[in-house]
Amino acid sequence: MTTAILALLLSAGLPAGTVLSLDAAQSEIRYTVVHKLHQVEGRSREVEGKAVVREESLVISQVRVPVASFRSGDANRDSHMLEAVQAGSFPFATWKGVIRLGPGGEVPAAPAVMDGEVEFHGVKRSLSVPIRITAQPDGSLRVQATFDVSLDAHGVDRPSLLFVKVNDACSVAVDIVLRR
Amino acid sequence: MTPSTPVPLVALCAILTALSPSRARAEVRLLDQDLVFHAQATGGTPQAEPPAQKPPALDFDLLGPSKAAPAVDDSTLRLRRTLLDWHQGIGLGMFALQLATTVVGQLNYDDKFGGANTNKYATTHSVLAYATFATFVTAGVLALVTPAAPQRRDGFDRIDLHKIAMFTAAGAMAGQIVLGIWTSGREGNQNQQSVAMAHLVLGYVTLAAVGTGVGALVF
Repeated sequence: MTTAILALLLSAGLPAGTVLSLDAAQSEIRYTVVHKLHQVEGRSREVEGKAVVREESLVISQVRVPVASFRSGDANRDSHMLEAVQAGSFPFATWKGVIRLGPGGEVPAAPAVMDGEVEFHGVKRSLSVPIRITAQPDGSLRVQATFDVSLDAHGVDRPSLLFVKVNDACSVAVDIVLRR
Repeated sequence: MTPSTPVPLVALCAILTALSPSRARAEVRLLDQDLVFHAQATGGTPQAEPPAQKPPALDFDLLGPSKAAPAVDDSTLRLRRTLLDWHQGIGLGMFALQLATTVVGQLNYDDKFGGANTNKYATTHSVLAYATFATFVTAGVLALVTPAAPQRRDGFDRIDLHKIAMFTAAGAMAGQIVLGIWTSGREGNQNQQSVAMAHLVLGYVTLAAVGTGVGALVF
C-alpha cells in the first residue's frame, strides 16, 4: 500500500527541493569497448549520485564513479584500462546533467534528453543523453541511459592488442536507482 | 540627405538597398577581437535577434569531496605496460619459432626414420629449437618481473589459462630438451626411434600449449 502511494506521488510530480540519492546497491554503470578481436565490458557498482529538483521543475544531477572500480572479469585488461585512462591522475569519471520535468514536476513518461557534460580523463565534454525514467513500485526512480563517449575526444591513448587499437567509441550504459 | 550630396551616390545607395535580401544577416566585426555584433535586417529595419536559450549552468557540486579512490600508481602501470608489450612481442615471435621448430622437427624425423636419412634438417631444427627456448625464457622472465595488476583477481580468467598453458609448455619444452639430447646420443641404438617419437610428441604438446597460451590472450 505504502509503495503504491509512493509510486502515485512520484507520478504526480517531484516538487522543488526534492533530493534524490543514488542507491548504489541497485545501480550499475557499464562500459563497452570494441576491438577487432574482442568486445570488452566492464561494470561498476561503486557509483555515487544525487539529483535535486529546483524551481520550474529543473532537475540537476551528478553521478560519479571511480574508474578503478570497473571489473571486466579479466584483471589484465582492467589494469590495461587503468593505464590508458591514467587512473592515478584522473581517478573518477563524472557526469553532470540538467533535465526539465513536466509542468507540475511530472516525471517524463517517454525518454527525455538530459543536457550535461562528462568529465573523464580530466577532460570535460558536453553531451546530450537520452534517458528513460521509470517510477518503481517502491517509490524509487530508475534511470537508464546509453550513450557513447569518444576516447580520442577525452585525450585517452586508446589501448591496443596486436598493434590494433580499440574503437574510439566507448559505449556507456547507466542503470541507476534514485531514492528520496 | 543634404543638398550637396551627389546624385549618383544617392542612386547607388538606393540600388544597393533595393537589391539587399529582405532578411539579410549582417555580421559586423568590432575592434580586432572576437566581439561580433549580429544584426538581422527585416525590410531594412534592424531587429534584435531573439536570445538563444541559455544552457543551464553545470557549476554545481552535489556530491562534495569524493571518497578516497583506490590507489593507482600510473608510473607502475606504465612500467607494467612496457614490460607486457615486450612480453607480447617476444611471445608472438616465440610462437612462430615454436611452430617452425615443430614443422622442421617433423621433417627431420621423417627424413631420419622414414626417408633417406640425409640429416639435412638436423641443423635447422637444432637452431630453431634453441632460438625457441631462448625467446621462451626471455618472455617468461619479462612476465615474472612485470609488476602485478593493481586490481584483485575475481576467479579464473584468461590470465590463469595463459599461465597454466605456459607452465605446461615450459615443462614440455624441458622434456623436449632432455629427449632431444638423448635422441642424439642414441645414434645406432634400437630405441632411438622410440625416444625420437617421444620427443616429437612432446613437441606437439609444447606447440599446443603455446598456442593455447597465446590464444587465451588474443581471442
